[in-house]
Amino acid sequence: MLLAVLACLPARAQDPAPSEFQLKAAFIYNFAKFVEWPAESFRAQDSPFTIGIIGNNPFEDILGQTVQNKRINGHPFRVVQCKTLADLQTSHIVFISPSERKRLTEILRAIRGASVLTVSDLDHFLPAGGMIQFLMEDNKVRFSINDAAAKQAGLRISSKLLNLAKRPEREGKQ
Amino acid sequence: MKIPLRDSSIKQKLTLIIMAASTVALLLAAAGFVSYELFTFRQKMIRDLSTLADIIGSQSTAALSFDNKEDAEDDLDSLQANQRIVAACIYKGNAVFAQYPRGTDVRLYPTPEKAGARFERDHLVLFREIIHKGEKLGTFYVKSDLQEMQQRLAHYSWMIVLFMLASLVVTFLLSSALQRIITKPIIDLAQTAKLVSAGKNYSLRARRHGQDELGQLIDGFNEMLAQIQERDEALQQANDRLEKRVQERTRELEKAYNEIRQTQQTVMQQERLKALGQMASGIAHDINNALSPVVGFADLLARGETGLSPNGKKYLQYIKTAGEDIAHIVARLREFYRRRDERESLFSVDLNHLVEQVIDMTRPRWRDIPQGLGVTVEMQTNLDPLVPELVGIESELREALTNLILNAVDALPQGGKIEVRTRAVSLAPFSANHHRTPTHVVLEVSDTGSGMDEQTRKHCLEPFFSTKGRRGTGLGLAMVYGVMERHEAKIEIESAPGQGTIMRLVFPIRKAQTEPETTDGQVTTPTPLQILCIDDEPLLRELLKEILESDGHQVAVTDSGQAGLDAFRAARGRGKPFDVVITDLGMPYLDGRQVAKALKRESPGTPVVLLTGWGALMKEGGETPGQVDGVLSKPPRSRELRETLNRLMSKSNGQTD
Repeated sequence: MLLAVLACLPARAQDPAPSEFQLKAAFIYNFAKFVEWPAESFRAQDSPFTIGIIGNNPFEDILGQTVQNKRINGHPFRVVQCKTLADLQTSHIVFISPSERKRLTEILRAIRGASVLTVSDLDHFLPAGGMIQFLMEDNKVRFSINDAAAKQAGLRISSKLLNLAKRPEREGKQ
Repeated sequence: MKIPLRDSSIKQKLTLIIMAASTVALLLAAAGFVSYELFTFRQKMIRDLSTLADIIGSQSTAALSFDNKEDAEDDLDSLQANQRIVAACIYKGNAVFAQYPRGTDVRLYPTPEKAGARFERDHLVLFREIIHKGEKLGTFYVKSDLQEMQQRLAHYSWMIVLFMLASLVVTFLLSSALQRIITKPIIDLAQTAKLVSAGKNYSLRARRHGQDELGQLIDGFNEMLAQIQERDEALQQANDRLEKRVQERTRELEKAYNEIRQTQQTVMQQERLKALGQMASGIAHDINNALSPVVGFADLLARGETGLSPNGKKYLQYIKTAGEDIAHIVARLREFYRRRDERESLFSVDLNHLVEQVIDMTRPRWRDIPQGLGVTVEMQTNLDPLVPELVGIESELREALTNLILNAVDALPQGGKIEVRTRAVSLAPFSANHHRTPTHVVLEVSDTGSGMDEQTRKHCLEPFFSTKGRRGTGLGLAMVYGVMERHEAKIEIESAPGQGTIMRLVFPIRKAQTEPETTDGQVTTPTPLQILCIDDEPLLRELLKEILESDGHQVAVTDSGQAGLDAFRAARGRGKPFDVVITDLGMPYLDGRQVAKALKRESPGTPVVLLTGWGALMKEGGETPGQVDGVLSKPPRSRELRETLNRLMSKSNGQTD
């Protein structure tokens, strides 16, 4: 279906089919639009919206390109590689790389209490206290949401996003 | 049935105008109302559809953002609640991302356009951008049909039609009632005009309904009628006057015509009588000329010739008597035309006495002879004792009345009644004579006899006209006519066959001029005179000479005027002039009149006597010559000659002494 749409649009014909990580980068950008952060998480009106990546960066520079020159509520995007725990707490979205499977609990514990939306590819991410987990279904990128964890962190996830999320898993978790 | 607009009544026109105007007004109002309704309805449709688009678009932001087609189509499915929406889709970029209804061929969707709404033929098409957090995510397309609007339009149409019908009915009823304000006066006016022109009755007036222009029009119309009526009446009066004048004039003309006709008839009769008289006179003249020697010489023979046998004397007397009879007849003939001689004296005549005399005289004719035949003629008189005396010649009047009575007797062969009446009348106009003093005396002789027809009545006065065959001379009434002429009187005859006859003599009343004179019948023997006789006829010349010489006169005769003059001069030259000259009138070369003239020039004292058969004519013409002292008619009679000579001699003696 998507191919058909693309075939209908000759203007975009030169674009190759988006890769898995290109889609995931776009999803991360879109999450920023459907989630509300508390006002105190921004130091100033134009202070950057920070997306942190912990572990091996699977996006390489794709994520940086996706959000380049984009703003959300007046905040420019910034993509950082987190090295310290403090780096995690100043980010608004943290993508936990699959390479950090073993340090997952530690990382989640470190973030707890801060208004940070956690996103990961890792299985069982949600039961572990993570908020949004990417799934691959029929070669399509989907996601599940742990709304309770988000609420705990002071984040408000749009109902539209919740409606869009993969429900069976979420129900299975709750 | 179909009447052209311009010939239809004013009522229909007004109704039509009002209906047309209100229909147009209603249609315009309805059109405006419908247009406004449609406009607002379209706006509302667009607004509603926009709201719907906003909701759907907002719902589908997440699905768009995360490329979730199923979710987007779930969102689109909510459009099913609105049945008017036939198609919708969400574009991502230029590509169709989600369709409604599901599975519709993407090629059926148009390429996305800028946000906006437009009405296509049967649809409303709306494009809406889907924006989330300031970022355009895609475009929403929706297409709605216009069934609702069309239904509304149909409703409106029905409503308008019904509303129009209702208001037209009301308008018609209202205008029918209200137009009377204008049409009633006009119709009244037209009705009045029709009545006026049909009956030519200009006394009618149109009723005025108010002070507006129609009122002024009606006032003008009424004023016009009044003027026409006035003129009509004036015209009628003028007509009447004219007709009256024409009638008067006609009566006058008729009167004048009748007078002229009567005058003409009278003149014609007089002319005829005059011509007949002239003829009679001419004949009498010739007979007289021929008779004069016969009678004259017979007279001379009887008186002068001695030694005649008694038989001879007797025969001579016969000849003389017969001749004198002829002369008498001729004289009567001449009487008919003779005018009154100036020397004839007029005397007063007692008409009633005259009537009685004549009735007595004619008694044998009206009583004795008819009695002998076994017939009774009754004679009555009706005499007005106050009749004034007439002035005239009694003997002539007596003869005239005798003639009338004898004619009346002749008209009564079977007997009957004769009435003689006298009366005085006034024929002068009333205004000229208030006292009705009599101006005329009427003598009437009426009989109950056979009467006369028109032709007889016309001709009865003419000489030689008679209805009595051999018994009549035809001179009786002619003589009466002559007498009447000489008395300046008129004869009126009323008669019709079987109705009897009234002969009416109307005399003017005059004063007598002279007293009756004692006529001395004796003829004295004249003193001997020297007499010159001039005549171209030898027989007459000789007769004259014999008569005069038998009276003891000395007579010289000549045969022409010139010879006479010569003899006269010769006698004067000798100192023995003629005492009297007797000359014939009708002579060749120098006639009697010229002779008399010449003689008087030379010796005015010498009396000249004109001898003529034309005596009456000469006097008639008013040409009694001043030079002539006496006129004698032929044949000369010794008695007349003697009387004339006596008169002349006594006159000249009186003058000379």
